[in-house]
Amino acid sequence: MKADAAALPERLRPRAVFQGVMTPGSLDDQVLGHTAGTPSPLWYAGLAISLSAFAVGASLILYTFYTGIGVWGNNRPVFWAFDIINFVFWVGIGHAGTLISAILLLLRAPWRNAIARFAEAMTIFAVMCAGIFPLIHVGRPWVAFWLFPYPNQRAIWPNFRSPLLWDVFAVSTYFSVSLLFWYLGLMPDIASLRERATGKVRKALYTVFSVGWRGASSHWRHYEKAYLLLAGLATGLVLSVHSVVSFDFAVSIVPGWHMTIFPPYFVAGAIFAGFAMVVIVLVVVRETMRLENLITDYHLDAMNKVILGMSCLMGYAYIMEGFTAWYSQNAYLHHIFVQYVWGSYGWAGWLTIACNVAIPQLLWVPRFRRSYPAMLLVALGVTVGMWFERFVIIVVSLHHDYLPSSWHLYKPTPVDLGILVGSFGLFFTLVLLFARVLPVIATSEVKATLPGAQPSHRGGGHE
Amino acid sequence: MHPYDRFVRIVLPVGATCLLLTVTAVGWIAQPDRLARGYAPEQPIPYSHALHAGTLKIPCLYCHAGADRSRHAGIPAVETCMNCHRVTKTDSPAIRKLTDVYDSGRPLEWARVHTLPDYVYFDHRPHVNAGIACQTCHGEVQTMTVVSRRMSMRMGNCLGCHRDPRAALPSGSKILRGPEHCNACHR
Amino acid sequence: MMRSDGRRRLRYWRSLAEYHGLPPTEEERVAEAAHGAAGPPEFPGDGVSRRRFLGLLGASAALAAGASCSRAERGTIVPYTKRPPEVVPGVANHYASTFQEGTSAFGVLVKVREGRPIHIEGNDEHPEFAGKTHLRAIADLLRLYDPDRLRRPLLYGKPATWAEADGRIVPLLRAAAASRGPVLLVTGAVVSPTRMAVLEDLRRVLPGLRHVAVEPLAGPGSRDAAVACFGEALTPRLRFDRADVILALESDFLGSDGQAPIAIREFVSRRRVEGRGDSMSRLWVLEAGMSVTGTNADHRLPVRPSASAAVAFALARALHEEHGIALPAGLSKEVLSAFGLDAIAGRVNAPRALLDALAADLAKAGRAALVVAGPSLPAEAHVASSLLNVMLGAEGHTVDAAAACRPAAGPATAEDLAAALREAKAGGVAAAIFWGVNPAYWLPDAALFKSAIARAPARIFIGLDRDETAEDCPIVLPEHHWLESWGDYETSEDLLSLEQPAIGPLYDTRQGEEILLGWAKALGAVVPAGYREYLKARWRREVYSAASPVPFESFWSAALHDGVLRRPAAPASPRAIRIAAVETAASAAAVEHAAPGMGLTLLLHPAVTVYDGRYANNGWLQELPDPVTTVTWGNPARLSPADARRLGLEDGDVVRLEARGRSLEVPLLVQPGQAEGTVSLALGYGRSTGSVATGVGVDAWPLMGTGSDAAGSPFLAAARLTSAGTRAETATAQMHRSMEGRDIVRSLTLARYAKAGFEQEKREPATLFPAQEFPEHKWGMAIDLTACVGCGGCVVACQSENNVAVVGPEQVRRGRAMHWMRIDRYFDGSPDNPRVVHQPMLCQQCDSAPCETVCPVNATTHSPDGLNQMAYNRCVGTRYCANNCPYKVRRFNFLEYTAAKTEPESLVFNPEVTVRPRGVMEKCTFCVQRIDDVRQRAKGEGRAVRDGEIVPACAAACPATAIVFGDLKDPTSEVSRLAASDRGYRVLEELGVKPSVTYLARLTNPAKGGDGHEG
Repeated sequence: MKADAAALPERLRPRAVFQGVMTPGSLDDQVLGHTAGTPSPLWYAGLAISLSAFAVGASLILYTFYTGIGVWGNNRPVFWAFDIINFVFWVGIGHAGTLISAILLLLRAPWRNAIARFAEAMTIFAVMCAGIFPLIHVGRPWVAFWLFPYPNQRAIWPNFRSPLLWDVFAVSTYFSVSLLFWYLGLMPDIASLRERATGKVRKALYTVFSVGWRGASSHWRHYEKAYLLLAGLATGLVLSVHSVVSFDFAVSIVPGWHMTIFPPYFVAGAIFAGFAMVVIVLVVVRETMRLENLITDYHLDAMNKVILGMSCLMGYAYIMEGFTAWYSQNAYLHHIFVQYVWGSYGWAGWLTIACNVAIPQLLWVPRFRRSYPAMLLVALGVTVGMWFERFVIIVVSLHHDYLPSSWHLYKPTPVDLGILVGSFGLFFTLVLLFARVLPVIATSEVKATLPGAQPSHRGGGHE
Repeated sequence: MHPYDRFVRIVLPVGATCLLLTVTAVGWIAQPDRLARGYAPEQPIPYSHALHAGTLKIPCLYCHAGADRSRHAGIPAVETCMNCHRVTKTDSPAIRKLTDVYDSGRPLEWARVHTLPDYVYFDHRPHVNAGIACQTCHGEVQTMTVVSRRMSMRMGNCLGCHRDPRAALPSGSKILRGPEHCNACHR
Repeated sequence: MMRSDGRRRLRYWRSLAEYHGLPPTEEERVAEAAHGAAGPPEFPGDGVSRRRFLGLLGASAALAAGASCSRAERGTIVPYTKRPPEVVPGVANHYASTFQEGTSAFGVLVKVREGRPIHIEGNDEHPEFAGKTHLRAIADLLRLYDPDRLRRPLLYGKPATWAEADGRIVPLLRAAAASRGPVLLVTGAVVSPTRMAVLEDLRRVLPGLRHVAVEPLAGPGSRDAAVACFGEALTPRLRFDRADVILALESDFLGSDGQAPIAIREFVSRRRVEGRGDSMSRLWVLEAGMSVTGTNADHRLPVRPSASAAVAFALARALHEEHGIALPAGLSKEVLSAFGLDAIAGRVNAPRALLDALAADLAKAGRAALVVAGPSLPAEAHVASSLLNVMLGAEGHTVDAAAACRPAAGPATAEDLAAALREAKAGGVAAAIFWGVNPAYWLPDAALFKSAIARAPARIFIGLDRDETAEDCPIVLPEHHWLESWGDYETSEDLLSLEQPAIGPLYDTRQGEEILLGWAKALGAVVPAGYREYLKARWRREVYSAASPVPFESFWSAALHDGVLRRPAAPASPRAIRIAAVETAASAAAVEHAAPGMGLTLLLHPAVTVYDGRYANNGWLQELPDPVTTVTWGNPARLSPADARRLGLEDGDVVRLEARGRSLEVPLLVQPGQAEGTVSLALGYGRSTGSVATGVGVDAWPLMGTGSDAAGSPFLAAARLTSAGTRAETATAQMHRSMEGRDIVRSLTLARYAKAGFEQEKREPATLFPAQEFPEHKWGMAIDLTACVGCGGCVVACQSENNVAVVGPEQVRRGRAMHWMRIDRYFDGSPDNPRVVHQPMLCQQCDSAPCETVCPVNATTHSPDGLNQMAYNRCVGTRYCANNCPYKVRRFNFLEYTAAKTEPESLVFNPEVTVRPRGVMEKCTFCVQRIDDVRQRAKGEGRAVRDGEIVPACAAACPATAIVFGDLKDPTSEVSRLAASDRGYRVLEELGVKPSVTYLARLTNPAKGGDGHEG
């Protein structure tokens, strides 16, 4: 196989997705080694910060449960605000993972292997963060279980026409499949961790979670099949879940929500935000965990290209929104679109455009695609921008709807902000723990790309 | 087989199943539908429906006069008891107590047997006027020495009957279904 | 409301025994006493104490129900020991009674459930109100259950028994009686002949009694003018239903005025347009501050109050010179020479053409014209308007002096009281008694009040709650609420209305008259024991004619049943105006009271909601948005946009307002339509007592003056505004003023309507959904925007009927008011004098309701009779429905607003409507509890529901009958007829939500000459 590659002209050869000399052994030492030994003070610092942020959020959520969501800024007509913004935001973040691991797997993009694991993990955590909000945003969380269709003596079913119900299904399905997908990929690595683990507890845990993986070729065959199947399944979900989330808005009659462009627009936005978040975390991990040779500039470059592409898509979506508003000649829609940029919250609109469309254009320059400051600037910008995009869509659309008599401004309270911070706290807590106890890089998959490996999913079998 | 392996393959699944079964069982036994029934508190006056409604065949509406005029069937005023008991069985301790209450004008506190949540606006009128026997929901009261609750009176009971009232309705009634929309009971 | 007459008779009866005039049995009395709940039998045998026991009983049952959650404890059921025959648990009784405010008395019907008054509506037997009543009457129910109410007498702030209180008071009064020393008794205006009789009895044994019946809002202007012109201080009955052209000078007869409900009903009766041929009356308004009346004007001119007298005289001159209408005999035209229409037009910078049109209009209307001057205007303006009325012949036709209200005592002005107090200060008083009045709050010169009574040996307060005056009185005697009291009221010679208790006294209180009778007795007068007997006795003597064939008892019973007694009225006759009065007034009006160096004229006016402040402790009224400003919980100073620009001020700025050497700080509200050079401020706020009232708004009373000072009226003053540098957000219910060019409220002029009708293209889009089937009924509503004056009565009625929460200023500021029925108000046109429209907005009960499709748990669904039903107990609180509601009529319980309420507040709840906990969505239900009740009753009687038999609270309360409810499936029903009207349209119908509420386009009737208020 390598021979064929050598025969190819330079530019057609599969790119090396790692740098320097690497053997399975050295790879294991480098990646799995992190889970042994005491973590750096830097790690503890990070954990302390994110944990306390999470604590703040959690206590504010309890406070909300105790007093009612009146402690938030929500009002009439802005019945939804931070709660749903955060939900959509986090679900969005949760898109990169599955996209990278599933779609790129099917597209046979070898550079995904190094980053897939991490992206998947982030998906899980992001969806967990997102999952909090639908629960806490309802007025009576203690009866939120009524959203699930289960036989009951009341003889009432949920309303299957309601997009919120579709959400319940979409998000929970997406979460469980992603989780499976991630865990399946982890098995071989956990197995090798099991072999390396020294501490009794660790050994026990790794053993349990490696569910008896012995690396037999039969295991590998099943593994490959299952992985491929799940990848196929997940691919569909990547597109479906955020489309469904967008239905929450597209299906309503609120001017500014009721738009056919929403599903693709939301999916693109989600991938956009997801990739940005991956870049941010990846850069940190790469530096702190010395993974330059595995997560190469080439990886980052590829990621940034995707971001650039998505940014252009977003730009297109924004323009289309404007066009619809103008072309439809719908007074209400027209009014709302003007509000997006010239209204009381115009700054949010401009911020969104700047962060999501303007700044990312930097990435046309190859040098910037490989420079930390540039890509971090872009990625952070996108994260902020995408949050505010949801702010614009939700709050601004709601605050000026049909009857001017009920127009009212929206002002968030400290509790709103606290809970948002808390969700970030939870996210990074989970990320840090993950980086500590599990292999951040799918060694088994990278090994498949090492010289001399016979990557079974490229036709399988041995030479 | 590796001990952990055994754990994963046997202990884990079996344990999970057992847990699930326990939860289901407890849930089933503790369901309010079962708990609600058979509640028979002690009453301040040992009034026997078996005697009055059963043996003496006093019609229900003689005492529960509100049933066809108001949402509430109502508990009879002590006055109503005294209509007879001024003269009958005046020497029995219970009646003496009753007379005493009546004369003093003290309120008589009966223990409540049948309750509905306060967001349920059950209306006796249409049910009584449709000819549905009181026993349908309240059980064979005329046989009860101490009234006990025979129906949990939860939404399932209402809807069940509203969807197929034939059993409850007198033969020849034209009514095919009861209302099932929210406002029928909730406001 | 029940209609079948058999029930009707029964329902007003408080007991059959009483119906037959039987005395109560001995054991009944014993029983009541023994209930312990009854307290000392106030009016032996009237069964009140029994009903009060039931009141508590109902509550305890409710509590028991609440507690009954576990299997072990389901609480108890407490039946009556002896059931009052007219009471069926679960069925409401209605009792006719009367609510008095100042010189007005409103005939009301009190809805009582198990002994608890839970709702108040107009008495449909009452000729003046015809089933309607004042929103303040509806809201005053809340005061019955106000936790701040006094529960027992207080001596020097310590709880005491009545015996102790009397023991302290009587000797002092004896001493006063012996020494014939002056005793100052201050009450509100007395329109009750029997109450007056009690006072007379007291005076007989207490010769020094000096009675001042004061109404702080009584303006000296109108009284002085009446005396000067006609020699008698009476306020004639204005017949708006006879008027073709109405000119209102600074008069808010549709709003804050005490007679508003009558005025609205009569005014609207001439505005209702059925078909294209119909005519309408025309309303001209000349006023400084935008008022409810102003918002309903066909032509509105912003005019300084100081100029309105001159305008009126100018009109008189124009009528004489240009329209040949004779001046009153003996009045030379020279008197009016100073008033040229041109000059005036310049002075008030109004287009001359418009004033000409006005004059022409008045001339054309002749006796069918009506000129009304507001109480805040100085005497000359009232004289001028009287002159106009006399010239036009309106006097005796639209101005009916024969049916005037002749109070038995008062209304004296605050100034009169001040005079009395000065006298007392000088001469000293043996006792000062304040009954149901709060001068310590509203007397401009509070210091005078304190010092005057400081040395009185007995300072006695009789009232409902411990207000500012009570704070100054060592002896505080708690009075019955009017729903616990007996009484009669004579608002005009032909009309006597009765007041009867609807509930027994909740606390150890006494009826005011009883207290006085007690003293009179102690001082040796021979009077019946209880006020009920006193009242009956007096009626037997004075009202009941021995000649009548019916025995007195049944006469009395009938009167109680109806709550009102009509007597033959004298025919309206014109009064001759005294020339001298006109001459003096004219000379006074010739020179306008300038505001030296101050720049602005301050105009103080009563609030539509809290009136003179007596209702300031009422959450319902505090939270009722002002019809014009939509401000709740406060009284911002209102300034014209031009002045605001000039002074560099804007909405929410706190300004320092100086007038009459006093100053106060108040938030500013830029009021479109405010006359330039004027600033309006509502009275009745800034109370310092009462858990609700304290600290809400600013107290404007200190700025009140005397009739005699420079401005010529206590309500007017030269004022200066300066910025205080800070800002304060007022709790405004509606943030946005403009309709943004959306045709939410459609309006057109009568002329255009008569010519071309009302062409509206149908906007309803095609739909893929099948049309709904409604087997039996399809409830719907029609709201006539021409009739609606925007008073807000429906809002209060809805709040009372449906247990709607009061959320307080902070929550209102955050846009969380809970009103199911709200009144949207839009300004249109130039901010200097905009057109104003009101639109009652409630759940439109859409057939294709957007809220229903998006609720994930099916908590809101459609009922087979076309209602958009809301099951609170199923609601999870996602609020998606509210987002998707284009009318934003859904309300969300962001916090625990009502469910935590305890007695006595919880006693006001309507037991037929769920009290919503936090986290639950709620909205208008078309009063489904009333629909169900009527349907069940009809079913029981084996008949169909009659059209107009179901009346939602809002429709029942609407004085203009602008709201009509009914079955849209029945083509003959009133609502179907209106829904089919060519003026009918559905708001936002282009969305295809198929609302069940039809709005009838607003018609205005501008004169040819002037610019029309066309929308």
